[in-house]
Amino acid sequence: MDESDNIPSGARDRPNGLSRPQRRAAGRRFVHRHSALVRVAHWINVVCLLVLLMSGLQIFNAYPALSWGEVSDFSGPAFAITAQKGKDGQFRGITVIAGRQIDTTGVLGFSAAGARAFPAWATLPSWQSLAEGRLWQFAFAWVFVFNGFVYFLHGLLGRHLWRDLIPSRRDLGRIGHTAWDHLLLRFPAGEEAIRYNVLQQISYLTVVLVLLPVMVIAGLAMSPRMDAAFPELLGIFGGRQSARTIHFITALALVIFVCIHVFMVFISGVWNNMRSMVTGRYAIETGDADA
Amino acid sequence: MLETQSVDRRKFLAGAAGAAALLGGCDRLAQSETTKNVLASAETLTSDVQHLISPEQVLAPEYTEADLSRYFKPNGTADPDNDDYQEMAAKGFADWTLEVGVWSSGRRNLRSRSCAPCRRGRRLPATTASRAGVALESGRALYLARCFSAWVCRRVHAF
Repeated sequence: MDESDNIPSGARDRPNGLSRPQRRAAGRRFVHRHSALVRVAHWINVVCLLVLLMSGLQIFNAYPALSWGEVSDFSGPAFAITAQKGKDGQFRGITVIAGRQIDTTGVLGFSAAGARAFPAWATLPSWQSLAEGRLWQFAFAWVFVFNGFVYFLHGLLGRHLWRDLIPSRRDLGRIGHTAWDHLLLRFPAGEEAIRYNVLQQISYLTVVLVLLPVMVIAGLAMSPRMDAAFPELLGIFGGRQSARTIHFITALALVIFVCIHVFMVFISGVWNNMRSMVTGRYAIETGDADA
Repeated sequence: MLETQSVDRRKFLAGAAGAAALLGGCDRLAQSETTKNVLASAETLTSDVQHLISPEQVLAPEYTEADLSRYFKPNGTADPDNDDYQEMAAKGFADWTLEVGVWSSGRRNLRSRSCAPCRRGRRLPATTASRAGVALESGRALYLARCFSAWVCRRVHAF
């Protein structure tokens, strides 16, 4: 059952297309794993997503509640981060989710910087400023969209999307097996490690083709001018408050994706992974595969 | 309960202090004038592109009376500590009037020919005006007054 017990051969149902080894060392060789464009786009994305997230939390702090539909329900929003004064006169951070109150003092609602939804360390700028948060957000939204556009065009016209990201029928058939290996933290070695596995393919495609576009469209739906020009933007989400909520939930989904992604990078050979995303060179074991 | 609370608080404060040191560089960057100028230049791009892809005379979607929120959320306070306001509030805004005018900045969409009655300034009946009155002392007064005057402009012009 263990995939890594098989000594990987070069044979596969489609060519991996990666360049031939540039250097041979004892038991390992280097392959060119990520193209320069993918690497540059990746790191630009890291900066953009961080700035967009932190400035987004800053913007959220200006009105730390979420509603559904057209109208903000100030009396009982579905989600809110508030500060409430307790009987002892001390403020507590209270997060309200669907009527349930959770004490989140110290992080959400009330933290070192006082009464604010997200704490100072999570927002950009760290002090309360909707105006500056918006400046950061819109500036980096442009960088992010331009970067994503170039990446997507490159994937579409080049081979990245078709060759690396779209799972093959064979990959899809083995999805249960791959998922089980992942749960046991068993990762493919050798030739198999060069390619994205099917779980990577599905999660990357979900991010690139679903989460990020939804993020951008929901963001546009919050712009009064865009709503005026394209009223269907509001139709898609059923109101600006819904769009805001979906924007927030999508951001949360991206944060979860990044956490899992970074965790995987760390446990599946952090230096090899980092080198391949910085220089493009990825080492694979040519001798006995280790699990 | 109270003890764990203060221990948590201390831990949080320590964590926050560490994070603050880390974010010090971030804050310096965010405070720099150069950064702000660069970021602000993106605003021009945003505004230009928005105008490029949307028609010049595009109007915001219209809503019916039924769409009015039952809750008015003021920025700051709904009951400003201001003598004029308090006096008017005591009378239920019966004598409340709003002078509406248009300040022509030379921008194309605010050409003075489009609204001659408004330029002269026109006093509105209190019943109409009081709808927008509640918020006038709050920070959004200017914005609301502008929206409101644009709305009145359209109404007046339609006569």
